Amino acid sequence: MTALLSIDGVSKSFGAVCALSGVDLSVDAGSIFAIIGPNGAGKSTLFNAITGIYTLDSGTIAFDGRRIDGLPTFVIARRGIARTFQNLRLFGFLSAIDNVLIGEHARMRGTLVDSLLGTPRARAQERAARERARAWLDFVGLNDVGEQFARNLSYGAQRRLEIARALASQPRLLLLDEPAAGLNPTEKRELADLVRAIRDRGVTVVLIEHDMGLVMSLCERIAVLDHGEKIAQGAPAEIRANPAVIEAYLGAPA
Amino acid sequence: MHEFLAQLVNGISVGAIYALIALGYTMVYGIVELINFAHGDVYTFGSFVALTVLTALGVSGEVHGIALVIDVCLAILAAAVVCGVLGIAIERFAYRRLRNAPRLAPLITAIGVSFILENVMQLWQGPAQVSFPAVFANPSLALGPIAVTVKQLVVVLLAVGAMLALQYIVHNTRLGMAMRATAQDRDAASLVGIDVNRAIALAFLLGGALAGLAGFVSGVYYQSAWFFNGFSAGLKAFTAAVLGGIGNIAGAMLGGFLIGIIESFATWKLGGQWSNVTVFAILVIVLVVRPSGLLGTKPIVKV
Repeated sequence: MTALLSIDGVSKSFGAVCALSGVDLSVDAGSIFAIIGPNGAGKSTLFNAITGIYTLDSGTIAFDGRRIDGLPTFVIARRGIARTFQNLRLFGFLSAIDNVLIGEHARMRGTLVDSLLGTPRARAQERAARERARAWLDFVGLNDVGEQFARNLSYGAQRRLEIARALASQPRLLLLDEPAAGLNPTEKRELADLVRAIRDRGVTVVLIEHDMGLVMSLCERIAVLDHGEKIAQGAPAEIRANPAVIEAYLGAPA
Repeated sequence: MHEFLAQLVNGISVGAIYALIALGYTMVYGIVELINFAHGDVYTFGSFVALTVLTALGVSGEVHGIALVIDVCLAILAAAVVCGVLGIAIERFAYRRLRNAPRLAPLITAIGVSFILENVMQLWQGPAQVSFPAVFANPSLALGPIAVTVKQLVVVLLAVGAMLALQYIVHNTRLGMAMRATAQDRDAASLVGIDVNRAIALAFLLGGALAGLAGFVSGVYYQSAWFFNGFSAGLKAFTAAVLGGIGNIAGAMLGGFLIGIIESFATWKLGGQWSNVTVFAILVIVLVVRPSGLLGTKPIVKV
């Protein structure tokens, strides 16, 4: 298998706080990969580094064999990396379908003039995009909320909508930041099914998650961060038995 | 009653100009939370560009027929394009680097840009009022009991047309949607692949183009232009934007027309020296009673 995402020696500090130090990570194409670790371990910082929100102090990040560190966030997004957020970041005053359409637009090309004048080509493109957006809403199980403002949807629906918006840009890599936070057990099971369905469409998924049951049952590979360093990586069974991981979560043995 | 209607028509015509300018304030505020104090001067710049084009076309008074249409269209086009590009240039060179700086820095910069533009225009067109050709024939049309002059009609029609076009761009095009998304959450927008710089530039382009149109319209309406016009007109348009709920496009239009009408009635009933006092007193009252403006909600419905 080839690595879709390769992270090499990535470090990032904020003043005296070292959020990431020398993190190496390699994510295989077609896998479901989890990043776990105690609060403040640097998990979200790593997502922000991958998506270009933070510039790196050192190290490199390559996606599909090409360096992406240092590129503007929107360029990285257009290369094929989409994400969701720990705290939802939907466009609350746009309708659900428009939120998804924005994801679609990220990979559509067309001239300004086309779009302003509404040429037949632009209209046809837009109609097709709208149909695909509806299909994405169906895919995540939001069939009948298209025209509502995103902010008026239930919490669980907003989480799904964020995933639909991310998928609409047809990414090859999807980063999910605590997708199960705040979901009830039924919703968590549905989420796990959804993530598998996404992977089955050929999208590699990396998720940050605190729910160990979900992580262990869903993910093929797990990396553990603690204090900005990667302390372990492996299959779920290896991670569960790893003394360093147990120590990071439960504190040093007495 | 007759006088009442006449004043109403006056107010709507002047209000259309304020509304066009107010749209630029409100869009820019909606997307970068900056009060672009140079915007009033962009509007004045539009007057001078339109005047330059009309002069180059040999227009010095009334024009009729097809020549009128061509001259007017060229003047508007030039003013809108130049002012749109001016808006983009101001954002690019004066504001972009300060986007993540403390709020006060870009605000002071905006005031600086305003001074620069005023001085450039003073060098270009001189410190005195410059007369603008009376392009449109003067006779008024009787619409029932209301007498409307041709230029009033043109002013209002152009402004309303531009506002409809703006609504279409903002709500029905891909770029407009990108602009609204950027106004709501800039980071999330860039993470879903929106070129945020382009979306912000679009707000400045549209705002500048509308200010350019307003510059032409006011030149024709008042038959004069002055390098310092943008100061008071800009302040009133800003007031209009706040009155309607800054960041809200429909609010800027409503606020613009309201300010025009209030000003017109205050001049009629209280005398010209009281018009500014009335306008700003009403602003103060609205802000006390409804700080988010007439159409603003909390949180502000941006762009």
